[in-house]
This record gives sequence, C-alpha cells and structure tokens, in this order.
Amino acid sequence: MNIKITEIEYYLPQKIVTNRDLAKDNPEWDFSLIEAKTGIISRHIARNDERASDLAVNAAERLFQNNNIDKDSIDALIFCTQSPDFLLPTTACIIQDRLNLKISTAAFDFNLGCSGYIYGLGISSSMIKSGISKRVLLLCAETYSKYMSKNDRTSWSIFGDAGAATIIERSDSNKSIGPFILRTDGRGKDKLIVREADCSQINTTENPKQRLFIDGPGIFMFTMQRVPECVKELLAQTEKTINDVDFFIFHQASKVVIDNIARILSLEKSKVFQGYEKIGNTVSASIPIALKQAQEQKLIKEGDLIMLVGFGVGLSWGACFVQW
Amino acid sequence: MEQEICRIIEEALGLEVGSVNVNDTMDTIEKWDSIGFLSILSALEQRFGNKVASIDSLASVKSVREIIDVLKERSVI
Repeated sequence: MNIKITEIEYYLPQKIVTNRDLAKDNPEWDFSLIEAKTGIISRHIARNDERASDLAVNAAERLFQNNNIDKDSIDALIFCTQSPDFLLPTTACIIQDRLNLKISTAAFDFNLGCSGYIYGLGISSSMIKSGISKRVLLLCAETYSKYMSKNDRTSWSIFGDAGAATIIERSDSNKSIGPFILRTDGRGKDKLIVREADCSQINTTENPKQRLFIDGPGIFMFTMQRVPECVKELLAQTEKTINDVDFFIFHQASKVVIDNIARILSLEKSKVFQGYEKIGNTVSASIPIALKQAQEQKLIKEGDLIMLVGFGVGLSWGACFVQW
Repeated sequence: MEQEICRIIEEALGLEVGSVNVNDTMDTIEKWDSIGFLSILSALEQRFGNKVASIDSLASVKSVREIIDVLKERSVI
C-alpha cells in the first residue's frame, strides 16, 4: 500500500518583524554580516495572545476551504509542537474541538522540533498502513518567539513563527511517502533548550530559565556531520544515487546551513530549495511550507522524487522520500 | 599555517587583513559572536574539506590558538 501527501497549506502570523525593525531596537546588532549568513531579512511573529494552536487551526481551516475537504473524512489529528497551549491537556484535543472534527478522531501531540515533519509523516504512514486511520491531518506549528529573550540576537535573527497543515492518506497511484531514516543523539540536548516553561505564563524577562538557549556553533557542527550522512544512508538503503533525486527539501534552518549541506553533498543549487528569506526558520513547519512553496513555484512536478530532511533540537534528525 | 588560520578568520568575519593574530580570543574579536562563529566554522569547512565537520570540539573553542590546536590534534593542518 502506498501513502501520499494530498494537500498542504500554511499560515503565517500577520505581524512581520524585519531586520530593520530589530536593528532599531538593537543598534549594536550588525545585520550586514548576519543577513549574509542567515539569508533571512524578515520573519512573522505571533501576537502575545496568539498561540501555536491558533496558527495550526488557521492553517487547517485554510486547507479545508481551499481544497474543499470534508472535515468528517479526517479520522486522525497529529500535532507536532514544542510550544503547546498548556502542559496539559494535549493541544491536539483543543484543536479537534476548535476545528469541529468528529469525536471518532484520534488526536495527540508529539514534541519534536525541526525533525518533526519527517517523524509526523512516518507516524501518519504507519497509522494508515496498520488500518488505524484512513485520512490523517498532520499539523506542525511553533511560536518559538515566545521563548526568545529580547536581547538574543542569534534567535531573533533566525526563527519565525508559523503553522502548517498536511493531509496524508492512502494512494492508489505511484505517489508515495517513504522509506524513512529516523535518528537521535540526546547527548546534544543542551545545544538547543528551554530549561523551564509554563507555556501559558512565559516570561523570559523575569525568568532566564524560560529563555530559549541555542548553541549555534554546536548545532552547525551537528548538522554538517549528520545531515550528509543521513542523506547518503537513505540513498544507500534505497539503492539510489544523488542523480536519481529530482529535488531536495532540507529543513530551512538558514542560508549558511543549507549552502554548506549542498556543498558537502555536491548538490546542484537548482535542486535544493531555499525559502527562508521572508519567514526565517519555522522549526517543524519549515518543510511543509517549503514543499508548498516549491509546488507553487513549479520547482517540483508530479512524478518527481523528492528527498525531505529534517534536523535540529534533541538532537533529532531524519529523512524520507516523497514520490510527488 | 597559523597565519592562514588567522586570514581565514579575518575573511570570515569581514575584518582587515592582519587584524587577527594567534593570541586573539572571542573576547578580543568583537565580531566573533554566535553568528560570527558560524562564519568561521563554515570557512574552515570550505578550506579543509569535510574533515572539519566531524570535529565536535571545534564548536566550543574560544580562541584562535584553540582552533589551531584542535586542527593540529586532528591532523587537519
């Protein structure tokens, strides 16, 4: 049985924060060097009263409306987030109610960052193949901005908030998802961490433990080492070469990261998606947004073999193929 | 080779030639912050091929001397 991605939509908060805006508040931040490395010039940031669930609900509503999808056809809702509304209940339950999905819908959260979409596709595929579900709504949404200290130049230069919604279901054609490579190295847990958080009461000014900490160089080195390995491992497992792959979508971490991955793997630039300039690194939402944008920009077409690769906080990483 | 490392750092951070020496540290080079560090690591990666990516300890160095020592220890230079 083949499993496919049917539709993707995404939602970006209305508030846009440009590098120029950040420079006004922080005149000592030199954006000439930062921009050249991150490739990011602006990002969307959630309002104080806007949560990850709001971004996910907006993305899902857009997906239902634009693609004329019957909500009652959804029998599983999987929400990937590291910024849940509350410690409990599960945010997926809140979203099930807000989207008015039927009570026979399975709903749960899982906590992963930039590798989350790959894991989400893997979980969805397994649930469908096992007969538990027929049509899965995979939501990925983050509001890392709520964890970021006002004077954290690195985080503000990189991250943006966003939500994405994907429908995954059985395929009767050649369209497919998989196989998957899923990997973990928890020794790197301290490289990207929020040590303490009550998600409804974040106050990074008064409580430093609620601030996002990122060891940029450590994450960079992890990426340079593990991502090319992961790509080669998936190619070897499927007995394919880089030339067999039509398009690569890496987690949109930043320009310096994607440029270096492409260089190490000797990938043609035209086969590597780069779409962080106006939205930044949107964590688990970055790959579905990139897939949707690549489709809109006609960079991918039906029948293409696409490799998706997610990597980051955990440390956690993974890759899979999508036959589009 | 030590001088070449200094030049790589200068170029990565957009500094004038000759402004970095082996005794410099993160504290004495203003642009060597988190983003600047990525530029340095990326530049070292490009110069020495993929040998640098596997050296985890390079992500925690705090001085030019430490970079040189780590690269020497791992026979990169």
